[in-house]
Amino acid sequence: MKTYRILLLVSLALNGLLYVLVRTAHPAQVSQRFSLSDRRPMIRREFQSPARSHSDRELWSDMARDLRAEGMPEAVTRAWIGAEIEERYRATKEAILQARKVRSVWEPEPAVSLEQRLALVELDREKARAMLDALGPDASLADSALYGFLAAEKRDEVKMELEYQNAYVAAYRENVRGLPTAAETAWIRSLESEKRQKLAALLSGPELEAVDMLSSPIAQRVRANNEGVPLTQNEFLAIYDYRELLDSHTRMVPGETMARALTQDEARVVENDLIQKLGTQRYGELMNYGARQLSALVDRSGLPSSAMTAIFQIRDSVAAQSLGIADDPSTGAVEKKAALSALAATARAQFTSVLGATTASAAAPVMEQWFGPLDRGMAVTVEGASMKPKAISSTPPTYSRKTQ
Amino acid sequence: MTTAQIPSRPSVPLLGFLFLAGSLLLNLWFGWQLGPGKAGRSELTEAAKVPPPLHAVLDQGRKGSPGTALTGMYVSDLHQLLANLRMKGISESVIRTVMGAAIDERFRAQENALLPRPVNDPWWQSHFGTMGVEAARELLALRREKSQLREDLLGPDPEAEVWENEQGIPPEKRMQAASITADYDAVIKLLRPTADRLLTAEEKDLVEALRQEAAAELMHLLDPMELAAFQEKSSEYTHRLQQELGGFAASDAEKSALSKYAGQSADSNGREDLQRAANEELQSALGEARYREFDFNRRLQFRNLADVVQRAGLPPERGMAVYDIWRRVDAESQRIRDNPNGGMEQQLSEMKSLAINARSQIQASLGPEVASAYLAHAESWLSKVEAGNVVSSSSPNSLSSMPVWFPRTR
Repeated sequence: MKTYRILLLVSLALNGLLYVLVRTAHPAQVSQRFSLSDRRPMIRREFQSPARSHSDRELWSDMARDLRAEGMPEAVTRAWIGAEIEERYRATKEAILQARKVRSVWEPEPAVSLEQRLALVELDREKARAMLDALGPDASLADSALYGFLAAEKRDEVKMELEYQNAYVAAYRENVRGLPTAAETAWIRSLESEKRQKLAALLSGPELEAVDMLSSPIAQRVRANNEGVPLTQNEFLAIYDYRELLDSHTRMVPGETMARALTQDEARVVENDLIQKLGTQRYGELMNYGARQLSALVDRSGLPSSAMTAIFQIRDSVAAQSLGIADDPSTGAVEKKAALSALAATARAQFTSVLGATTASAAAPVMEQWFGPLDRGMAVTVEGASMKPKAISSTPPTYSRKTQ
Repeated sequence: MTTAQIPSRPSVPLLGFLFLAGSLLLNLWFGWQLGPGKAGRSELTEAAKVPPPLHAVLDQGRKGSPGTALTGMYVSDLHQLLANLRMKGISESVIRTVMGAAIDERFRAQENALLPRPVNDPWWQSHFGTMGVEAARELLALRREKSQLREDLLGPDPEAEVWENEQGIPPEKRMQAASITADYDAVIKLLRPTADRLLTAEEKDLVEALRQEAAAELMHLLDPMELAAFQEKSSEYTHRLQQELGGFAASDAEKSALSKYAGQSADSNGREDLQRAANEELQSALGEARYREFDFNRRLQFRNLADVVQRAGLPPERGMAVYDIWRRVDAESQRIRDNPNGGMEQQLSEMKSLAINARSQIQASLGPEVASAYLAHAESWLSKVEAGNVVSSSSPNSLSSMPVWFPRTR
């Protein structure tokens, strides 16, 4: 009887111990752990194992020290430690993404759920932390446009936080891409705001502004659209504000159409505000695609900025002359077309004399865009930033039925 | 012992032994749960706990003085470095990364000297710099030499993703073809860093010459079948179709019809009549029901709608119902246009009613929240119909509209 009682007690104790072990090894399944709410701390706990990380990081740190002592170039050392860390987390990553089969080139990527995306974001953060712990600060960040201006001791932490926060927001954005509901849009805004708060804890006010201007998608778009164009800081900021305002009232569906939720009157107010900030002349230069291309070309070719002034004078004069020809009641259509075509040839010749033959050959697509309508018997007008063709007849239209 | 004793005094040993047996069984079950190969978190972490060879290498080092295991590991001779890494039993994927970085390091100074000089821009400006024609040629030669060295040292990556279409190409050739494309593309990208950049005649000629040279190298390397498979992978149309197919799970027979359709669409070069003919042929191959699913899936607006319907917990048929409304509007607007008896006012009024009805049907199908998200996009075609346009979309991601009545100058 006594033996039985002892056995029972031991077995019950073992039940308890094993239960704890099983719960530790089998938390809830991944698919049940996430929802559209922020579970960041929980995900982080899931993917961190301090004990394991500690021993691994010691090894990676020792290894980096030894490789540096061996005289291995820093870039190779960093690549090696990075590969070791990647290897260490490979099974975890594969478990998150699950097996991928061989597929046809036109078969779509297997769908990645929000849960998987968030798990990968947390995993990347852990890897980045392991890299920093093992290798110390990355000296190459001093040359980076985004982080180089920060104090050396801040760069790596800021980079890690910014990349983490961006990836986190991007995971949610990707999940609701295309058609976010109002609630989802509000949720993403709150994540953006949280991101700013986290960065504000690491950066001073001016540093945060600079990081914003260097890393925000709108700022990057403004810079890309003006590649090679000599912009001033105020011009950049005016265009940035304009784009930001339009974006906040626009839903973009990639590959399809753009729905702008501004009335024509509202859009005019926004446009006028930009014209006021840039001045009419610069507005025409910076908001016209061809003009921006020319401006970058002139700058790249080492021509003086006065070349652009001359270009715009030629364009405006040609537009005015073309209207004069088109509206001249004393000439017939055939004569008008011949005169417009001759005007186009003159305009091209004037461009070539300002730009030189080599640069003018590069400018041919813009000349075609601006003066091509003259060759086709139309006048051109300059309206704000746009060049528009204008038919030589001014008879008001009547309506006829479209037939197949 | 009498039978009367049993009910009055429960058998403690019997119940106790049953309890003990249950407890032991429970222990066995717990033990089984903790065993190797069980699913769940253990699968994520246990696999990661298997020490890679690095740990063995370093542990060996720690037994002696620090650094013993890696002493003599780094040598500038790349063949010797590779031999050292392999001798230490480092995993192949780590070796590939280390060797890749060492090869890059070998060429870094020469490459940097040829790259366009970075302009120290303030944050509000951006210049990618300009690359001269001679520098571009030298850089290409350097990159080809580097690729050759990587191919000689490491050979094809056994873990590289292989597409079904290119499984017939030997791995060495796949690696070389990928290098040719990457090397030429990288130099072309430096010559034309953005699509907006205007190129001089000399730069344009060079870009064209580089494209032709890359094509010639690929033709020399691959036989016609291999070349077709490789080009199919890198074709712009393939990438588009890949996106368009979205959630449409094609059977093998359907795959063959889709493959033919992909070729026809690529050859149509944006001509609406050819695209329409390809659509009709595919429709007859897939059958009406499957074509409807395919057409739903390949249109971004409906793929996005399917996503938001799923996130909102609505049945998937609601998305399909909106697709049917869209098709009805398409067909009905054409019927209105083609009605020989309709006058301008009557036709414009019918078009307006068509759009208004479609809008309210969409709202009824999707509910206010999802409908609001969808209509923010769908207004791009609904508002056109409301204003008297026939909207047609024979290619999946572009929309053309034509007014029923249009201005005519005398």
